[in-house]
Amino acid sequence: MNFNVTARYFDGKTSAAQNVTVIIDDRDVLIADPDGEICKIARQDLLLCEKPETNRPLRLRRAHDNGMRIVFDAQDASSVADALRHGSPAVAVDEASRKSMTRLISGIVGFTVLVVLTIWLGVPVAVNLVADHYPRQSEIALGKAGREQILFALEQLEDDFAVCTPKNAAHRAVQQIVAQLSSSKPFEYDYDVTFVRSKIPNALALPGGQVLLFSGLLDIMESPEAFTGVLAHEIGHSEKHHGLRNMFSNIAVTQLIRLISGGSAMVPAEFILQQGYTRDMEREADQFAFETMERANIRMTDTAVLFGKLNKTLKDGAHGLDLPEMFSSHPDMEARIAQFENAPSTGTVDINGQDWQALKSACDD
Amino acid sequence: MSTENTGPRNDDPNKLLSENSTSEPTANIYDDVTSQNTASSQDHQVYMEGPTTSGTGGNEPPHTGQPWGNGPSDGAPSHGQPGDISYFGRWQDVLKLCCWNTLWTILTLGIFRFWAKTRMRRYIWSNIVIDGDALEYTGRGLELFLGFVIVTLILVPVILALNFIGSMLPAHLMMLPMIFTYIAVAFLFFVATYRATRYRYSRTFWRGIRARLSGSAFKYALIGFGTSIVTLLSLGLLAPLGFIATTRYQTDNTWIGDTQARFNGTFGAAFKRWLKSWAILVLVVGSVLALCAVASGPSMIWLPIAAGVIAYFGVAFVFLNYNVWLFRYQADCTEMGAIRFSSNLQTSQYINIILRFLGVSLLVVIVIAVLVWVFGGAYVILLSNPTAGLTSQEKGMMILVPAIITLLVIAPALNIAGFTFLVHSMLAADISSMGYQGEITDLHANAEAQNIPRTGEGLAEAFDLGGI
Ligand SMILES: [Zn+2]
Repeated sequence: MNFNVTARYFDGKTSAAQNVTVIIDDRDVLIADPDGEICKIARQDLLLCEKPETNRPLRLRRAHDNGMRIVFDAQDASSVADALRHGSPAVAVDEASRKSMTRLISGIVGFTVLVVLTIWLGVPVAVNLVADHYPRQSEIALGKAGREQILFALEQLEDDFAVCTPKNAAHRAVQQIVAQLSSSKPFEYDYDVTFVRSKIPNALALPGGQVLLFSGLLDIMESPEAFTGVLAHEIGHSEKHHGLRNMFSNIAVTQLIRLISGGSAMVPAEFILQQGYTRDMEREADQFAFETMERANIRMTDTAVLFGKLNKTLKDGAHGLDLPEMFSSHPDMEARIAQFENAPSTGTVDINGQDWQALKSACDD
Repeated sequence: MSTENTGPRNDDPNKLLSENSTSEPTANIYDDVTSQNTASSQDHQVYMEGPTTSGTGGNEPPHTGQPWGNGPSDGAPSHGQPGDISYFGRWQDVLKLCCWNTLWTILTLGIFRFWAKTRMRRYIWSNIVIDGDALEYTGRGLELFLGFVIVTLILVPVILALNFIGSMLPAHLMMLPMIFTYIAVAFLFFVATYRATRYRYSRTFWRGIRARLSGSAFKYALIGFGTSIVTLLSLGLLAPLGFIATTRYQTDNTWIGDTQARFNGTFGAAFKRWLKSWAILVLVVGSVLALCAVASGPSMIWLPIAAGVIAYFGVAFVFLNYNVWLFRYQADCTEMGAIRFSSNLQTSQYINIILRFLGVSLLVVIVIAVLVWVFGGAYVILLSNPTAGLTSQEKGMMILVPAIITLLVIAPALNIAGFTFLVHSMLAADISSMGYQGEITDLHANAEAQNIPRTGEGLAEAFDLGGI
């Protein structure tokens, strides 16, 4: 099939046009002026300059652009477009042929997989490396600054929130428990527990040995051993630098996602990724608490009972959305309770009843 | 090449235009070819009708007399008039393209945006018609993507290092890396802008001749950053300094083939115009502040608020008016070979565009709000039903998921509306307001292939400069 049409030809060296005749056949496009052939271009070496539109001229260029242009007038455009686009190989717009689209989609899928792998595998490795080499003094300072920020934020959120001022005996009790936990293997940080008045049953570990304990959790603790279980878990977070790792992975993942998505809102992806990291950390902190209490021979059944109560509160949804762990950051509650329930240790914590009462009533005025 | 300049220099755009409309069509060697299609466009004489006589109503943006906005049923002409720069892009096409692009971008978690940008540019460029031939954009999405990947590989470690250093410094020095970052970002903003422009020019062709931007992005950034600081120190009084200096540097480094552009605008002229705007701005801001100080009583609290709202619109108008003037001035002061440009852009055009955009946005928000209200109602009933026996976790997810979906719909919908009815409309108004005087002589390709970047805009992408 031969298709014969007049066109304007630009040679890419000057902007002056030549009037030419263009012959389109199954394999080539031949350009000729009255003096004879100018050039012959294979169909696969040609591109449409843009998507053909009705009543607009149609323009062609080489895939290896040298400035050469063939411009068909508007009234010929649709028939020329038909001749070029149907027939094989079809002439298409750059990056718009079926082949390029397939290549583009597989490329995007491959790139996405690469990025996801980087986030899942590369970021934790890099983050751990940084966290392990982070100066301890700075981590302690960071924890203190973090405590002030969190206390400030909580104050805005809850009306009857307050920082409690427990008796000296309570602090003595905490230090006694920490000493007992670290008797066979010393901790990296000095631990400082801040008691806060809040209905939420929660405890938080900040970098460098800062622990926040909410009175809502304190109220449902039956014994010093239950308290020790929670404290050991939070100490686990600190000793394993979870705060730092969280902070750095947060920065890394946020920046990566922001860059890849071009700064558009990709909160869900970020949220899910963070959940993954947090779950692992909770398991690690539990494992740390379990091993430390086993070494110090402190019974864990009381902790298991406490976890059971927490689990129930969580299920009842008594605290609804204000529980930070509600999106299952404390995973497999049943398995967790079972692990502590079946622990072999039988010993107790060496604090007297008076000190325990002081600790328990840290937020009672 | 002819250097003859038709028409005297004149800063009044309207005078230029009236001269232009009566000027002879430029002789060109393929007049015989172009004239076949110009017949249908005779009624689209840009300069005979001012934009103020516009307002055709209906669905079409009220830009009159312009090829822009005409449906294909009108038999949209394929060639503009000699001496006029036309824009044929239609908002319907842009809306369609924008929706597809957004959909693909979301499906690919944002990666498709480079190809989306390329498709949009190809459409816009191919609808800018000068002397009967459209511009052409030959950039590829892949080039933008690679540029982005390269810059990311450089930038991510830098960002992480800065964060790391920042977290290690004592509290009272924690601001240092942040201040450093802000200064670096401000400087790199200019570098990125220039480099992005260089890429776009290098992918712009007209009649097979490539455009190009020479000069150094670093020098441009020095000029831009330096004048920004001067502007800041002078409380905005010397703002035209930055515009004139950067525009001159960029225009004087703009080429098409081996023909160089020239900018002969002066600080004096721009300053004279700016001084008026600046004085009004100072007066408005000053009087609002004074009003705030005077109206301290609780019964007078509405006064500063009302004054603030009025002042806001006043300030916006003054800025808009000045910027429209600046656009006309820039066009008037730009020469390319024997060609002098001009523009008859009016502030009222921009105001119409903004009002239409606000209307469309309102419509979008209302539609989404109604949908949320209807479907959200069912959700609330389900959630508050105690027999459903949902755990707090499930309840949380049931609130979170629709909220996320709504966000995922609202933001792109407003983005699409913003691009179609604000960015594209303003661009269309800008381009179709332009004309030129003088004879288009033959352009010649530049023999050396210098200043043709292989990849594009990575830095600009990293800063999310946006735009087109
Ligand atoms: Zn934990």
